[in-house]
Amino acid sequence: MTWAEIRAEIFRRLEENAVTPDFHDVSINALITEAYGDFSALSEWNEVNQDVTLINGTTYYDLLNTLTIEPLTVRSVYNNQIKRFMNPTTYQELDHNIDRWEFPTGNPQWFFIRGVWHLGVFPKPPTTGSPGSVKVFFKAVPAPPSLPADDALSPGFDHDFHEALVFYCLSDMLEDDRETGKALKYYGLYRKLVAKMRKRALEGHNQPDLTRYVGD
Amino acid sequence: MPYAFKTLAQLRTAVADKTGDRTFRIWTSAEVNKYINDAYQDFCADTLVLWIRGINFLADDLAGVAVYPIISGEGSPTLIQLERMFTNARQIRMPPISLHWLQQLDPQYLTRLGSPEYYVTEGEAIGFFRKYPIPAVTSSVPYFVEYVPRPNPLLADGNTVLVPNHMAKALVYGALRRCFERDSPGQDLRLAEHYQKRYELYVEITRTRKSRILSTYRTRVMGGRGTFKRGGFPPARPIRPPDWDTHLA
Repeated sequence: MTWAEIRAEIFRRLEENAVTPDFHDVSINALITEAYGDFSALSEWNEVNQDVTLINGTTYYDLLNTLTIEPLTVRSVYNNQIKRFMNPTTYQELDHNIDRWEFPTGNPQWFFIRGVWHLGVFPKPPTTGSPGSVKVFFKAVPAPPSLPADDALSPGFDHDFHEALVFYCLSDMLEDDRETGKALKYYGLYRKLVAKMRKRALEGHNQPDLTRYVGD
Repeated sequence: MPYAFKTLAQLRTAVADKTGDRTFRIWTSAEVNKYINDAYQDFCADTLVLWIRGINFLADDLAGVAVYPIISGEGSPTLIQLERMFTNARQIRMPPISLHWLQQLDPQYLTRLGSPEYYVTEGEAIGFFRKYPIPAVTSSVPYFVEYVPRPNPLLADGNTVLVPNHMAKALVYGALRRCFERDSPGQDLRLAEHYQKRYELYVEITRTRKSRILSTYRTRVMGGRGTFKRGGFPPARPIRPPDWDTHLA
């Protein structure tokens, strides 16, 4: 579905006149944009990466204020110096295995997350010299579409799930109209599609089965 | 609702847009502010998204004093969960110890003096901890804490929430639930329940984000075998030619 088709589908389901709709106080394009942001944040289908410059002798990095795009979930971290992906760990495992692990310096080889957006690295970069950078791969909300200019384009995720945006908008508009029963019905449908997309995006269910090529 | 919002005024407008009470006749603006703040506190407590590493100003060693506040008092964020504590004096982490273990380890723990090595939170008032052994001398070397704080309330219209834009929407849903729950004109318990479900979806997803990296792939830092919850062990790393890194560079 293109953005224009999504808008048309919303009007069709509401039996609305697209030229003079009853829901005239709602900017339909703003609502579709909001639906796109909500669906993307909840299903986490979009993955991007950005470099984070390391700081001499620093273990923790606030990704919310360092990255130019708000991260949803950090997936992996690549060390640009040693050209390898860093191993995930936790501060509990570090505490358990290494005494005073916050003091050694070197090329970071493990990473962990504190809170939701604080990245920790171990060992921390040396206190002198160029600390280099790491590439953080993370889930993020994509840039919103510019509607109606982008009407001919489509949402960035699989077309099977485009209907979710329709359900979200219908639910939202019906809520405002106090048609709670119908709003709940559409929100239930939206939530099902979010769960399905989320499973696909996070657990790799959209990956081809490669076992027949490499054996068991 | 706009695509992104961060300030109290923006959140209040978003709530008013959804209730339809844009002039705040049914739900006053002070009331909506309170609901937004309540939702903000609840969301941070439910998800533990905030994290702070800082100095515990009130924990400097005092000779003979065993119990101290976990973080500084008035004006500072209050505590939801303590994660780690360490002292800069010896540059080591102070591990927690359970009260039961301490009682078995040293029956005289209530009077034992020395240089503090462990902390205990059980048996003390909420927000306080006991040092073991009890400091023998007074010292002004600071203690550091890593903890999940309760956010400061949003008092002025320009105050911003500390959570990212995509989470701020949960605060609107939390506030809407409270608006529609109130026994007054405009009450709609079914809609209140609906907004509560929306809020809970955000909470649930935010909580899973905290542990997702390790839910599918776990590894030991030193020694032992990796622990993998799903899919067994990962494939062995490919054997690389000796000049692999040079080749890439």
